[in-house]
Amino acid sequence: MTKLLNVLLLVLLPLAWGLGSEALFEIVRARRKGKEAEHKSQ
Amino acid sequence: MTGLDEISVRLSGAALLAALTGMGLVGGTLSALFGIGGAIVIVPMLNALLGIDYSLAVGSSLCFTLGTSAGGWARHRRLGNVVGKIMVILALSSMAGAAGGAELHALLRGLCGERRFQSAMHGIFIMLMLAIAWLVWRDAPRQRPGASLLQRLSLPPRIALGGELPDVSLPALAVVGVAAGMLSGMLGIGGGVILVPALLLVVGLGMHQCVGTSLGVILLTSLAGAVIYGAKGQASLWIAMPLLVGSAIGVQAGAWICQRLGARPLRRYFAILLLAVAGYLLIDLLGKLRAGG
Repeated sequence: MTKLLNVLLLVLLPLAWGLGSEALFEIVRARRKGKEAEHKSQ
Repeated sequence: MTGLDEISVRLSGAALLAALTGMGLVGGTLSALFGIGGAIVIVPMLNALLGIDYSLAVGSSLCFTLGTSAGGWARHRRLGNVVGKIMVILALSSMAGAAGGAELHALLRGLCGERRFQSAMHGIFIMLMLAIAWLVWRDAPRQRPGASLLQRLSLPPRIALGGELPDVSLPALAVVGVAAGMLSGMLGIGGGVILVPALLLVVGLGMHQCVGTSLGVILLTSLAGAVIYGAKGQASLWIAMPLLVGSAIGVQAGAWICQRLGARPLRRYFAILLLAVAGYLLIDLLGKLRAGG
């Protein structure tokens, strides 16, 4: 049981980190684009 | 799970975590600069610099690769750069290859004994780095559309990829996947070193599709490898997570540098870096051999 939990953690934590950080960077990119578009329209 | 103080023979505690984060930072920068996962440099350096056992370094590197490829794959999928059919075929064959590679790793360890195994792995990495440095240094020949090796092979069955992409031979595609998977399971690297050139030159995909599709294959291959090594107790989150944290910062730094350098100098710098790391490993290997005999 502990072994299974260990393997699950080894797989899920890096996956969550990878997908989570990408989602975060995507939000930052979208915000930056929005600001640039706003700046151009002004 | 292997405890923090049992991982390295040279460092422990906060110093070890800082060193691993620093290595992740370098790996992430390399990843953004040269389009590689960074594991080809990270795995041998974990052993040579920090004295981490090769099997533990390989297993933990697969967990690290899993995290980095997941983020990259998600981004490329959103941009429409993933060719689903090729990804599934390559991933299935590559996962089988990864299982074979992990067995080969265990077999080599059993045959060589502890000390010789560490030296043998150093030797394999040195040869791989020299081969890649040579391939990167010389300019790759430009591929005419429809002229790639896999498209000309008549090995049946052939599969239609849809859209503007030509048919390719299924068995030949599977061989590419198995080869990349073997390398991944044996050495803990993503396999992009084989997959990207194969998709570019052998299948004939565009560069963005090559990177997006190979990231999907690497994601599933490293998942299989991480499960195999994790079940044997040969992977640690104490190694993988600091590497991932450092890598997330390094990728941003690498992307910033990448915009300020041309493609040709980048290839040359990458080849020089590989030669430098191979040289360091050779010195470390000679030291180990001298100490052993």
